[in-house]
Parts: sequence; C-alpha cells; structure tokens
Amino acid sequence: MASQEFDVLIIGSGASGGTAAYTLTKLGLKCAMVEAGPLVDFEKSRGLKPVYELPYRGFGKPGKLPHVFQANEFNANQWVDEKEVPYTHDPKMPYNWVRVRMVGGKSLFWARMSFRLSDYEFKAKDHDGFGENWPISYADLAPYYDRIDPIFRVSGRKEGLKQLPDGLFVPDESPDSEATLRMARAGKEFGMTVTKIRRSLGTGGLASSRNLLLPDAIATGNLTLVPNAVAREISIDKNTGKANGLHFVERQSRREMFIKAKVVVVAASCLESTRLLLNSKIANSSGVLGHYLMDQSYIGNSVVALVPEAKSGKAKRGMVGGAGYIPRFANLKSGKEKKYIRGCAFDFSTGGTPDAKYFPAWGKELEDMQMAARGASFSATAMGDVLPRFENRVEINKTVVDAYGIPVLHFDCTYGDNELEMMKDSVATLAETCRSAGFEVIHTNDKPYPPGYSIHELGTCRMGSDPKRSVLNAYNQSHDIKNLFVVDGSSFVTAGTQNPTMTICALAMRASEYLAAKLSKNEL
Amino acid sequence: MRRRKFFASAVAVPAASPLLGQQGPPRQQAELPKLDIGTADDVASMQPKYFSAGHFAALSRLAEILVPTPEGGVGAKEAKAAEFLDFLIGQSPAERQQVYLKGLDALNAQAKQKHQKPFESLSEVQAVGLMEPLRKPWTYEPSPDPLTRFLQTAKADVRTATQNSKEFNLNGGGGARRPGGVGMYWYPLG
Repeated sequence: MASQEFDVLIIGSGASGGTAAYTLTKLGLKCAMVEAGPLVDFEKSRGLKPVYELPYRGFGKPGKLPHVFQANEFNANQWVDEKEVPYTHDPKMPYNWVRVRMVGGKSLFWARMSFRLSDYEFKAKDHDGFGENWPISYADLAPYYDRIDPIFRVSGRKEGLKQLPDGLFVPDESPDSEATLRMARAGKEFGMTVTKIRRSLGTGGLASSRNLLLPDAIATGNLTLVPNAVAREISIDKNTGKANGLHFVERQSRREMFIKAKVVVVAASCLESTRLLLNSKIANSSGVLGHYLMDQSYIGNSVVALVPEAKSGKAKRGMVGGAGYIPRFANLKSGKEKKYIRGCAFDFSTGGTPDAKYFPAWGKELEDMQMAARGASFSATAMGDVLPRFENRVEINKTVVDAYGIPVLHFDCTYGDNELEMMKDSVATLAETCRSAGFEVIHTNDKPYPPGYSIHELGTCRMGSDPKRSVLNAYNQSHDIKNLFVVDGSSFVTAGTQNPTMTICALAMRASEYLAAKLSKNEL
Repeated sequence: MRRRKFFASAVAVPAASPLLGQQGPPRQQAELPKLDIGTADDVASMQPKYFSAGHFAALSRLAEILVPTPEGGVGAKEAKAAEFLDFLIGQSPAERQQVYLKGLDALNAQAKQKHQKPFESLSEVQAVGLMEPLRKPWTYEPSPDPLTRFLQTAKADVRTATQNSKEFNLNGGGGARRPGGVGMYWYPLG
C-alpha cells in the first residue's frame, strides 16, 4: 500500500482540489489527495460561548493574527497561525495573506458570492490594451460554469449583462426593497445595474468542497484523502523530466514522507501552490512564476448612508432590507472612458444600523443618534479590478522557514495609480448615486485596504499561449512539465471584480477532463 | 514457520503485559460529579499594572464619560472597562500602546494647560470640552493628531470592553444597547 502509485496526486482539498477530485474520480482515475490541515469535526471543534467568557472580551489575543482582519476571538483558531507558517514583507508594503488549513480549505468559510468572469476579463487586452488576454474566452469556460452552478446551487436573477454573464440559477425571486429600487433608478445615470447577489446556497448552510465535492469523490472508491500532509517539494524524475510524486511532512509527527503519482495536480490555493513550485524549483522556464500577483482592491463600508424614511425604526414593510450587487459599470463601452482602465463593483446591504464610529458623538448623545439610525443603514463594499503587473510578486525568502522547515514567501506588492484612481472615482460615483436616491451619506472611504484583504489572491502562475510569458497553457498544464497541472486561482491572467471561486472551479473541472483524456492516451 | 511465530509472540508479551497488569480488567469510566465554579472576576478585581497612575486615572474618567452608567444599567465603570483596557493594551503591540500613551499624555497636558488640573479632576463640562476632536468625522486612515486618534480608538475600545463584559451581558445589555452576545467559538485544532 505504501508504495502504491496513484494515477493523480491532488495537493489541496479546497474548491479547486475538490473539483479536481470530483471530476477525476468520476472518470475512473485513482487519486490521492493531500491536505495540510486536519479533517475537522464541526461538532467537536466548535461550541457556543458568551463573549464575556473569552479571555480578551472578544478583542482577541493581541498580536496573534496581525494580518487577518477577518479574525476575531471566536474564530481565531480557524485561521493559519502566522507564527507556525509565517511570511515576510517590507513593513511599508503590508500584504494580508489569509489562510485556512483544514479539509475543505477556505471553501468552508467563503462568503459564497458566485459570479462568472466575462470577456471583459478574458479578453481584457483586446478591450483596453493592457497586459495579456487569457488563452481562453468565456465561451470556452461557459459549459463548465454550467456544470458547477448546479453543484453549488447558485441563486441569482438573470440580467443579460455582458460584464456579468448569467448562470444556471436557482431563481432569486425575492422582491427588491424600495431602497434598492431607488438605487437602481439613480444608478442608471452612471451606467449602473443593480441586481441580486449571486450566491451559492449549497446544502445545510454550507457550500464547500467539504460537503459538495469530496463526498461524491470518495463515494466513487477512487479517492484516498490524507489530511495533515504538509507539501514540501514536488519530485521530478531526472530521466524523464516529469513529476513523479511529492515529499511531504506528516503534520502531527513531523515525519518526512513521499508519495508517488503519474500526474500531479497542484491546488493548494493560489500562493501556497506558487510557493510549492518555487521551493521545488520547477515550472519556471518563463521566469514569471511568482509574478503578476493580483487580487481585488477592497474597501468595506466604502459608502455608509441612511435612508431617511426608515430612520427611527419607521421603515414601512419592504422599504429596506436585503442585499444587492452593482457589477462593474466603468469603461464598458470603450477601452478608457475614465482616467483609469477597468472598473469596480459593489455589493451592498440595507436595513442595519451603522457602527458607532460613524457618529461624531459619545455617551447618551451617541446612543440616541444610533437609535435614530436604527434599521435605516445602507452600506457598500467596493471591489476593484487590480491590474496584473510584473513587479507585484512573491518569491522565496531563503532566510526564513516555517515550523516544518519549509522556506516561506516574501511579498512585494502594492496598488498602483490605476487602482487608487479607480477606487476614488467609483466611491465618489456611488456616493453621488446614493444622494440622487435621496439617501443621507454619512461616511465615504476611497482608500483600499492593504493588498490581500479580499482573500482573493490571484495570478503568480498564470496561463497563456506563449511559454516564454506564462507558466501554464490554456488547460492549466505546465508548459515545462506535461504531467503537472496547477488548477487554482494562481492561473488567472486578469483579476476582474468578481469573486473568483466559480471560475476557479470551472477551470479545475476543465483542466481535469483534459488531463484524464490525455492520460488515457498516454500523452502525459 | 512455527518457530518464527513462537518468537514473535514471545517478543510481544513482555512489552505489553506490565501495562495490562497495572490496569486490571476494563472498568466503566467513572462519571465525575459536576461542580459549580466561579471565575476570577467573580471574586477579585483587576489590578492595573500597565498604565501609570496618572494615565489610568485619566483613562478611567474618559471611559466613564464615553460610556456613562445608564439608570439601573451598566456603563464603563461597572464593566471595569478601564481596568480591562489596562490589561489589553499592556499586552498589545507597541504601535497600539503608543496610541494610548501619547493620547493620554495629550489629554492630561491639555487639561493642565487649560484648567491647571489633570484630566480626572476636571468637571464634566471641562472634560467634555477637551473631547471635541471626537466631533470630527471618523476616517479610515488614522488621524495624524495623537489626541484625535486616541479618542477615536478609545471610544471604540471602551464601548466594546463594556458591551462584551459579563456585567453588561448579565444585566440584559444595559437597556437599549446591544450586548456582546454569544458566538460560535473554534477550539484549537489538534
């Protein structure tokens, strides 16, 4: 058993690894999957606690997770411990790398926002002249989106928008609130469309690789899932130049292990995949591995406003409540309508109460102001398309290793003028829209959070037609090593404004079917 | 073949038998009686040790103004918010500590300059007069003015320390205000 050679080794069990396992095992391939973290039993790993029983009253242990702004004292243990697996960056150029190591990966905790990319992203260079096109178009990926949507049970409302292709939705027929309709009317002047958030419903409140993909893969009898296996280095056969397995560290005992496979699929999440390839010193004849790091520039509460008619709890039924989505609205007609290229999208919610910090008061006066604003809030999160730039990159820090003795990543990444100008203009436009809709704007912020905050890290192992300028081909296959595939967000050529999970899954499914076909013909 | 089997069992027995001998026959696990317990906060008070006496006195006064005690309810004073922040800030990274230290220095300096008294000794009107920077709109990027930055930070921290305290939550959330509540806690992963 120990010397068994699998058809395919899948490294990582999140959305991309789960999709690869789901696809490959159904095609009859014998797969092993290694996951750096444990298989978590939710019943035993979590429990309800009052906040006052926590040692730090909900603030969290100071300094424990300095880069994970999503962490609080309740969920601090679900994230990767930054002391166990550190990374480095220039203090003046912070990067928030947010990681999860457990079976299911980040798909256990994502916001479930489920969008498709469009040819505004796949063929971005054709549109505005910057960077590179993907080697595929929307038409190439659409059939795979169509197969992923039903697995995740994506809800939404069809709009026929070129910049946000419709999916095979569970129809969202909930009525828009009056506040949302007012936003939609006011936004038309700026080319905005307001639609429903497209969200994976999953099952039982969870839409994860853990419950939607891995159980089916295991049920085929073709998947061996191995938690607690920390990937160290992909092994290359010196005679053939092909990948032949993986050196990994058994997490709990720290034993050094080796697993053999005919094909290796890397799905360790964008930057862990690139880190593994860099540490393995493979697949980089182009010299672009680690480069073109992107994400979505992110501003929570970019615009906070009040719906006056809803103040003091006086909202009529249907006036506020629910959420909405404003897809990219800038630079759709020509390459550059604005001072910047590409654009920004917003998701918003109505009906809550703004945080106390937005009211310039304290004590009883503050309480009264918050009471008056109760249930009347509008708040929007901005997500901007970050350009792929060679200088935004990760590399191996040769002087720092993690708790497993594996060299860590060093980040060199910052937003440029295009991102900053885009966010400034987009937030100003949304604030103006809110005012046109009759809302009282009480706060705006057009300064994006540090890179990485969106937890949508993309690129660094990009696909392309030219092996000199890309790491992977159009099927997520290494240009250099034919039996090596990288199927997560690292393969993205452009970022877009859309949350990337559905695209990652569609790419992983497409790559897996290509892999299986090639393997059956002995062409790997 | 038989001989090999004999040696295998001869090797296995001594390693296992002493332990088995100590344990005796398997027994049902004893059911432990449940004990009611208290917490440190139930029986003792926190001893401020990070801030100087002057800083702590100013922070306590500020906390009581930021989150005053509502009638029959719990404010920063009853929640011991200042004592908790002494503990929290004492463990925090240097940058956060500096926000407090510089801000409290600025608050006391202004109190002495304008009223010849430290902040904790000011009347309500005098103290509130020094808190005017809180009338500025909150911005994502911290204010370059140490007092403004401190006051905005302390406003949020004192509210959280109060609303997430046991006193506040067991008092039903202090009237209209939202208590910290209950959350799903993740235990350390094995």
